[in-house]
Amino acid sequence: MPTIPWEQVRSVLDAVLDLPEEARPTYLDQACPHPALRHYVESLIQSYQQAGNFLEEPAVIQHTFAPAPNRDTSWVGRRIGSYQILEQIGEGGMGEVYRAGRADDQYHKQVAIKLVRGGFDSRFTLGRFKAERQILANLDHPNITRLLDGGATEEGQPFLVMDYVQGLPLDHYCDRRRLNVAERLGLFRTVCSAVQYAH
Amino acid sequence: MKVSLHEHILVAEAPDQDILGLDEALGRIEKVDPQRGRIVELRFFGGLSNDETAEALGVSAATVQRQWPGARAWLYHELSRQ
Repeated sequence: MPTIPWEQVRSVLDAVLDLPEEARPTYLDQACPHPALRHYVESLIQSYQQAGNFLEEPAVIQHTFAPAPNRDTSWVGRRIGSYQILEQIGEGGMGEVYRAGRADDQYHKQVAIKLVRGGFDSRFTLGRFKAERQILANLDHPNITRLLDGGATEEGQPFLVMDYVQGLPLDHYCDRRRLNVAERLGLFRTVCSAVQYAH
Repeated sequence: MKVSLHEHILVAEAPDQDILGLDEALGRIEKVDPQRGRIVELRFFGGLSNDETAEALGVSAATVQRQWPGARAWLYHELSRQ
């Protein structure tokens, strides 16, 4: 930041950005006694014009985890590792999640298998997926699903095998049980403790 | 209850967005203009709307709305000169 006090900059800046573009020079003429202030505010206006959508989209995007039973069910019935895919139970930003059982019927345990979508077209996604796998493998917390296994399909599509947890999305659960604010906050604290642990 | 680390929450796919640089710049603005810093924090990192931000800070929606463009302009300016 230049040496111009921010108190001076901000009042001029807020006012000038509130004006239509054609009215700005006239306003600056009377609002900026010092050329340095005007120069700085002008460069900030320029940044504003270049900024496009900057910061307008929140850093974190909520993705609904709605079941999508009719989409891309090609994996149902197939085998991944020692697991037989039974049904698609969810879809998220990075891929699909399936319910699966042991194909060799050694145990009757059901698991959730997460497959990264596309797999190849996005190095970014793949990197995130690998990072998640590593993170999950190191986590041991009663409120975080355990990572049981992981690998790649014959086609090279990476997957994670996790505990299958039957349940409702948290907001549905709260509504269905008609939880009051204190009870909801109690659940929220549990979520926070898991998130804190994961960080 | 179990929470899974799925993409329920997925960081916006903007690898070119310099989150660390933004955090640093935010720290600088907070020193001289704490309220404006909080506005950016709540809107961008917290995902709150203009009205929700105003409510959280106990100020009017018009105040948030007036300070938001300048905050974006200043932060963009800071990040692009790095």
